[in-house]
Formats: sequence, structure tokens, C-alpha cells
Amino acid sequence: MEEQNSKTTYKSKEEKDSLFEKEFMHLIGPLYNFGYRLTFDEDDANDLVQETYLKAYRFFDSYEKGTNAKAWMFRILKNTFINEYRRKTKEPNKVDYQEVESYYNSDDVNETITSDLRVDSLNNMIGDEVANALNALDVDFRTIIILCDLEGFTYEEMAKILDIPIGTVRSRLHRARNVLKEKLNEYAQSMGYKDQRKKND
Amino acid sequence: MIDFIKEVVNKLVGKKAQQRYCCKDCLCKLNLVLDGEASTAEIEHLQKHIHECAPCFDHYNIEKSVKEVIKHKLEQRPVPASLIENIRGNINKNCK
Repeated sequence: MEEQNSKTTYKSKEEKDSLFEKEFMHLIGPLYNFGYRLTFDEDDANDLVQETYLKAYRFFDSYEKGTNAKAWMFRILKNTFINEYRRKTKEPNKVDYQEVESYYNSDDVNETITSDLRVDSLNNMIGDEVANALNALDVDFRTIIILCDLEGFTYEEMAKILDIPIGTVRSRLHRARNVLKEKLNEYAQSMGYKDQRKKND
Repeated sequence: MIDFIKEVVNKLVGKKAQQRYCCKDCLCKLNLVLDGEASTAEIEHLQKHIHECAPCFDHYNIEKSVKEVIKHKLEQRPVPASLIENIRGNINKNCK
């Protein structure tokens, strides 16, 4: 009886390369954009994506065909970023963040910051303003918003990509969205003042 | 008179507390629903609630819009033309 194994098997380097390209090359757009949104630098995003593909190729034998290729690649990119780029960018250290997170894991998790943010102000925003609000977030918050709202990963996939429990995914998302809404509200308000000035002119 | 005021305040606070408890539960479920992580029962419960509760209805629409602006308004940067070739070259150089 033939062994049913979902591990990727191939006979030659050509076949391996062809399978590798088929599985992963179509993800280059989302990966490059994820890299850019983490580093804010085109060259760093380039290096990060190249390193991600190189690691993926080296570990291709352990990749189970048909499993979530996108989540697998995002996880490699995120780990590469943490190991090689995070030190350079001098992000706030993990300890501060963990304190915030444990606070939001408490019973107050559902207390939502009430803001004056309105649906029509959101709809009137341009891409640059949304990007600026997102970019103003701490890297962990920015990451989880990108994974969930931009890339549409499930909580379970995000838990695997980020190596954190699902409960932490939920609380981090909650906190990240509250900060994002504050930032969006700041833009909405400055926009409102501009509109008001136009009316008064 | 003071007793009357106390009674009114207690009623209002009591109602508010009750509403807050209910809404707190809904707000907790709201993101699950928008993120596609809620059960059918949770979706139905939230849909029913937001038709009866204006603050939760507004909150639902804000949260939904925030998700939508992230999804649709962020500009995607084009991948540099050389990147795919560089990846292939890098793999061929390092993984023979």
C-alpha cells in the first residue's frame, strides 16, 4: 500500500523549484507589502522578502502541501523581522507591551473608549490618512490589524503566525483597534477643522 | 423631595447598569461577528440587539467602517520588478 503522506515530495531540483514557485510565488505582493508596512523601507522590505523565500525554500521539506501557504510564509516573514530588523528599528521593548496586554486581559477588556469617530468621516478619508493612522501604531498592534483586517487571517491563523494564544489575539486586536480609532479620529477632526475653514472662507 | 430624587436616580442608574451589562456582552461579540469568528447564534443575537439599541447600532457601524477602510483604502505598493528574479538567484546561489 502506498503511504499517504501530505509532506511535499519531489524527484529533482527542477521539480522542487516548480512546486515551490507554484505554492509560494503568488504570495509575493502581500508579503512585500507586509514587509514594507513593518519596516517603512523599500530596501528592507526587499531583503526581508528575499530572506523569507530563502528560508521557505530551505524548510520546504517540512511544509505540508495543501496547508495554509500564506499563513506559513507570513509566519516566516514575521519571525525574520523580529530576529533581524526589530533591533535596528528600536521599537518599544516587549516588557512595556506585555504590561499593557495583561491589563487588557483583565475584566475591563470590553470597556470601549468612546470616541466621536463617525462613519461619514471614515468614508471621506483618503488612503494616505488611513495609512498614517495605521503607521502610527506600535508594531505589534500594526501587525495584528494588517493580519486581520487587511489580509483576512482567522484568529487561529494569527495565533500560529504570532505564536500567541487565541485569547491574546483577541485582546491585542481589541486594544489595537481602540488605538487605531483614536488615531483615525485625530485625522477626522483635523479634516473637520479644514472643512469648517473652507465653509468660513 | 430628596427621596424622590434618590428614587429617580436609582432607577436611571439601575437601567443604565442593566443596559451596560447587555451592551458589554454585545460589544464583546461585535468584533467576533465582524471578524467572521462568531457562531450563528451569536450573529443572530447581535443582529437582533443592534436593531433595538441605538448606541450598539452606531458602534457596530463604526467598527465595520474601520475594518472596511483598512481593507479598501490602503494603497498596495507594487512589487519591484527585480524582486522575483533576485529571489530565484538567491535560492540558486545558496541552495544548490
